[in-house]
Amino acid sequence: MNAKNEITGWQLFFLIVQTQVGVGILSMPSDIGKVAKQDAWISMVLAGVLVQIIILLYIFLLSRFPEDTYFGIVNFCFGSILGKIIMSTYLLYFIGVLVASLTNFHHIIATWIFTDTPKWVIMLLFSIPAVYMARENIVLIARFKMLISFMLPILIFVLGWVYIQPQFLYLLPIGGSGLNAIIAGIKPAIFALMGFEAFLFFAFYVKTDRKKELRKGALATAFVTTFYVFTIITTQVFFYIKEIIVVPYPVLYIMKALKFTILERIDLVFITVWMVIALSSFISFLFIAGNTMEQLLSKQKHTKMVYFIMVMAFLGALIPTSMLEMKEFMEVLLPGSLIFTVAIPILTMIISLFKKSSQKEKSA
Amino acid sequence: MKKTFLILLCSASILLSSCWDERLLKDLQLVYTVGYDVGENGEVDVTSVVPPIDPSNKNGTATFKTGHTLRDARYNADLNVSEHIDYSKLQVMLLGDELARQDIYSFLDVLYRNSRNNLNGRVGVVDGSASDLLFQPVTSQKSTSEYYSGIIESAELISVLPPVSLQTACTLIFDPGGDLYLPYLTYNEELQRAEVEGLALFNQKKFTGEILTPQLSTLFTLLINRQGDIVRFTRKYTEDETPEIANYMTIELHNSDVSIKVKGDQQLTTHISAKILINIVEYSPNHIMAENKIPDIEKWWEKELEKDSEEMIQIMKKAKSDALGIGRRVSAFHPEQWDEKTWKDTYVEMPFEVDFEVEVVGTGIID
Amino acid sequence: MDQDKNYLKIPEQKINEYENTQNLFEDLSFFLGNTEDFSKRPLSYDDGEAICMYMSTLLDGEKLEKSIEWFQRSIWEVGEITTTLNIQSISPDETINQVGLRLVKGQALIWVKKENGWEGVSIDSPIDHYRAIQEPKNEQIVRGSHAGFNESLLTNIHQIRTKIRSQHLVIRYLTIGKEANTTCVLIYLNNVVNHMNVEEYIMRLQAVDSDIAFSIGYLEEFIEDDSWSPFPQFLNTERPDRVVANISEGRIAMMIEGSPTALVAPMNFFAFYQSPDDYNGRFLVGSFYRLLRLGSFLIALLLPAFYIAIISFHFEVIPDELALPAKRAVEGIPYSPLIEALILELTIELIREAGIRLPNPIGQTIGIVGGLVIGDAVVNAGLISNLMIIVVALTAISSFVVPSVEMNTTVRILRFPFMILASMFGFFGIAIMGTVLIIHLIKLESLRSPYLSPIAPFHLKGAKDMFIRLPSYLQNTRSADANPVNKRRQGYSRWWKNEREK
Repeated sequence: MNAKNEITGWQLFFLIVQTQVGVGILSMPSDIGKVAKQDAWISMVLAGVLVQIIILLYIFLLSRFPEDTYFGIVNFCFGSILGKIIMSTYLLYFIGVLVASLTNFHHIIATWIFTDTPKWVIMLLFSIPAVYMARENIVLIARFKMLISFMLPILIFVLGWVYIQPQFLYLLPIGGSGLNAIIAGIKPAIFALMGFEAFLFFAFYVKTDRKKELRKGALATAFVTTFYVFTIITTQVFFYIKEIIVVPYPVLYIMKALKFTILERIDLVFITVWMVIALSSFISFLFIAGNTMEQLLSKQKHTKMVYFIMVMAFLGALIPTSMLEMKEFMEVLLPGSLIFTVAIPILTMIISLFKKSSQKEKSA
Repeated sequence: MKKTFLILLCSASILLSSCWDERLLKDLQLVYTVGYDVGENGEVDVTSVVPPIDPSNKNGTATFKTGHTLRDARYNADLNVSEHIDYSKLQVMLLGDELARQDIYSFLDVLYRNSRNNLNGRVGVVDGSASDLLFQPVTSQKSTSEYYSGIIESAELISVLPPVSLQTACTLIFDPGGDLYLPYLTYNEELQRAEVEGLALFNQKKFTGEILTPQLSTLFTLLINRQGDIVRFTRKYTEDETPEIANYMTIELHNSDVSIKVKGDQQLTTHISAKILINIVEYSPNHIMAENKIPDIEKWWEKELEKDSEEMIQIMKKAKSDALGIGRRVSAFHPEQWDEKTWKDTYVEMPFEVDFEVEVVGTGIID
Repeated sequence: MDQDKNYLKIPEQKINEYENTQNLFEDLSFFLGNTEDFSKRPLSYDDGEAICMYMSTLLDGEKLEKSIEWFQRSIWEVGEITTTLNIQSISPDETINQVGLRLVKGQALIWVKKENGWEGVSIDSPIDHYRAIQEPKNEQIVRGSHAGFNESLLTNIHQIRTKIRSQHLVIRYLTIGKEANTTCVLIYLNNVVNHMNVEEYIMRLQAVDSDIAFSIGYLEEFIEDDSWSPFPQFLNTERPDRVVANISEGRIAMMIEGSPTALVAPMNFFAFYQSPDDYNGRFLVGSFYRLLRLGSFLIALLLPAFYIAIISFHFEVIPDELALPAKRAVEGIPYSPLIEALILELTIELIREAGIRLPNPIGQTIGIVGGLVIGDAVVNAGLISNLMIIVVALTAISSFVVPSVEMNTTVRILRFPFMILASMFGFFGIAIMGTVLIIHLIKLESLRSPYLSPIAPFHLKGAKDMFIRLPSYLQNTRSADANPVNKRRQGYSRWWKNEREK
């Protein structure tokens, strides 16, 4: 059916959605709310627009080189030595992301369900399915993501219960927190949307009808933004803004207060469902990191790279012990991510514009 | 081969290690009801009520006094209870009168901080000491542990109380533009039962001592749109009928549409307008339709409800309690006039206009 | 006689090279290891000598006698050998090896030595000592055909042929087993099936280097995609109607001589949950029961694990009203929930296993004794909580709902890892195990087609007949997992509905 290593536009859509949506969504409303107050959703919309523009830049860059992977383009633009250096920094960045998501995941599990279980056990359990999936090829991963995406509506469904007694007044006055606060809120909002850089790597596998299908990747980030805006608004009509700031995982907190006839404490059930979504995001990065390393070392298979990277990420995640250390790490990683998702791709694009035109002149 | 060995090693190490967070239900003592009081030297007394294991034995309920905080109470309780005590199925939390007059958030904090606690539980304020109330015998089919959540829930059903769970209480405590209200319970010596006295009004995090009687709290529940399945008002409609009971008319709410708006530029005024459709469910003189009494009845109810609302607002102003959430509207629609610090003073001065519109839509199956 | 006979050369020797029937018989007998059921019967023949050779244990003597009679009469009356349905002439160029194979396969051979050479005839007269056509015991249905396969390959193919009388139905014979020489047959619809699949299937069958192939289940392990997977990748069925339905979807059925089971591939997970009953009843009812069956998969897999997780980790999720009864039920049980569940689950497996082996009336008794008496006594003794009995009983019932025996056993085995992980990590453990299982299913292939076909990769059209069963006239396309060449099954059959309204 599918030739090996080729995905469709919709599969790209779900790959990107599932890379962006992870555990972050559970804490995101509170992270943005801290800065932008009741206008957090405006910040999110603006951040969504920005990310959309970045994605369009990506599409522009990638459609100039339909035959090349992203690193192929980087190598072409920067030369192979500088290209390799850039690739290794990317690899480090991805390992950083993996460490961060592993620790974040553990933190949720540890605060919410397993207070006493050692960190390494939880992370080991988490990494088993991750490695099991990430060592496969892109087609199987895409299938996995599509299957898992049936779980996204669960969140919407559960959060929908908030709208039985919503307090829309908490959203007013719109723009009341001031322009500066809203703009400052864009930063955490973009961090929440992180994962869209996966587009750079997954788009390579879309081979048929490329121009049209790549747009579905842009649609994916638009979808995620809408999804996030919905989540933010839902938490804000449920909690008073000061409460959101105190509560680190407002989404889970909402579920904690809901009561159904068959089950109470939906949060406990939900967190396990969401674990799979978090895993899915983790798998994407693990796969990308494995591929980066494969290309860096010019190997044929990424399977062994995935094992190696998983071990690295696992060991890395064991180092930060306190919340504070984790926070420091995030403070380095998040701004750093902007270099890899925005700066380097744009630089590559500019150089490629020059290089291509000079090449044309040569051939002409 | 190596890989298999590694997998085996990993799984064995997991399998052999014990289960760290295991909490077997059979080893736990579930606490359904808990009471907080101010004890001697400013300490806190915690009274926990545990449901009996044997359903036929109502009096098997264990009640005991412990600790300073909920955490402390758990620790102390483990010293004298055969099983590990667990608060994650907490249904009701009762606060003693004296304690409620202090900052109650600091007592509730532990509940919000620990992920295991149930935020669906109810909170209530008790006339006097919660511990005294919980030690009182109760003549009920249910055991003491389930009794208190039962009476609060049944009062919510007939709209005497608006539903307030621990979670909604927390939101109300945080919100400067609205104040907390909690059920107020007393013990009736004669009936040997606890009773819902009405609604305790809070100013910020402290109990003001003012209470809305069930009659007014029903109206309050209606105005904040948190009514239960049944909203019922009974008033003395006439004076001269015999027997005495014939003077009373009972109506049930069919449908209601309440809007609370804050209007004005300099001087803000609160407009409360309510359109309610009612069914007359009890009125023995009959012939409502035949004698064309309906317009009179509607007018009379409008006046009656407006009068009650005025009374309710006066009580709330006296308590400096903005339970209706007027401040929320001011901050939303008139942010330039919103000042969190002086809000309560503004509130007390604020004029209210109440307008009820009553329409009788049914008289039951007799005229 | 030739004293320095080279015995090693015997298999390669051609019939033509023999001088008389006696030598031929001796060599064949030697080739067959001097087996004692290798018999001969000299025939009278006018211009030479004739001999009939056969394995006496493979042939129906009476039929053989009749055929020989017919043979002789035709020679007397016509003067030459007339071939009939079961009398075929064979070339004298065949080697001893080939002739020996014919004998082993059950043919009687008549060799005539004439002056100008040999002439050979094979006679088929198989013993028809087969079971009558019965409804398969483990795949009973309420409505529809009650026929089942039996051990005779011919009868089985006959049953399929009579259901699809099409020029496109292709039967392909293969021989498997170096020693057993079992006849194996592939059946498919030529105009529907994807020929890549057929070639793959044939390739795998030919690659089997086993000495004997005594049953389908044995053979399945040689040819399936992943033997380590707990899930069956090929459908085993004894129902001709099920095979026919699958063939018409573009799948390939394989049967071997002596086995009443057909092995159908490529399958997907959901097809295991289809039963002929779904199509014979009303479509709403069929859909309901199919959803029920899929639900039963989840119950059978997860319910005990879920219960263990709740009782030992997350009892917060029990509603307030149920918390106290649940607490009372588990009060005073000495064992941990996992041990409790394992004891009961294993008891039920024991009862089931015992019930199969025992004759029917005793089997039922065991079921009742096991189910009722042990269940009741164990609760009274306070060993196991009554909630656990409910959970395990429900699980056991759910696992038997699957209309495929293999899937049923799979589900029963798979719930143990779930239970163990649930007892260690609660919901988290279940989620991890569930994810691993999902990933495994996504990776799994059946004859190189994705196993979770209509949902991963996702095809909305394929889902028409997977979760629910739409009315037959709406199922115009074939399911995509078998990747059929001809996707369209039928046109719109109910055009008359609009006509009448006009």
